[in-house]
Amino acid sequence: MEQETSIFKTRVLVLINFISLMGLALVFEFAKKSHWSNALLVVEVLLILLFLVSFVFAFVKTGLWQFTHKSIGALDEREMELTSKSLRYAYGIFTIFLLGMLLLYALFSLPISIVFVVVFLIFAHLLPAMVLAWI
Amino acid sequence: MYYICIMKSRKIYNRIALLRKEYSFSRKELAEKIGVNFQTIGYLEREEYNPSLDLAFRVSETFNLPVDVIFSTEAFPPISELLIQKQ
Repeated sequence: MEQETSIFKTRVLVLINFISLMGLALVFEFAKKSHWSNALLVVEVLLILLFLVSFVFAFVKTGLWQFTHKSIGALDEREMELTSKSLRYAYGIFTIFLLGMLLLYALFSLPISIVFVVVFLIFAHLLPAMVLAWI
Repeated sequence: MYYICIMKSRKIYNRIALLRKEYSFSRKELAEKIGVNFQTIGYLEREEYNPSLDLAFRVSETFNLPVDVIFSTEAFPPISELLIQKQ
């Protein structure tokens, strides 16, 4: 029961982290297209803070970050299997997600900003650890 | 024509939890002896992870018992049942 609650909490934190990361990019794109108002700036800063705080609680404190950044020699056979499984899923999810986003950008003729690229690089780096919270 | 054979792995039952208690090993101690993370011992004891042949041999060497005494593809009967049978 305690373990299930802990898994649920980690998953919620991972979702908050993902939403804040994507929100970051969306607010930036929206602000760039319209106008950088004070309210949008506050929202952007709050999203950055939410992303950083949820990153610490979802990945650092739970050990997920450490798990995906251990050297192969430090992993036992179960951990290796788990890491390989998470990488496999992460690769698939990232490809589909990125293709979808690029299609949307192409359809609406949106220019790709550096923030979009940075957000997706962070997402690609975090995704194996995110997947680990589910498998 | 290509034929793809998909082998579904069976669940492997084990007596690791029982033996670990008998030998008074903590999960961490047993993990150090067989060279895995202590969390893996928990997964093995709950039968949520099927060990490799190498790991199964390492466990059997630690307890000085044959592999088939510790691991089985069929569920082990409870100790109480075995004691009644012996009587």
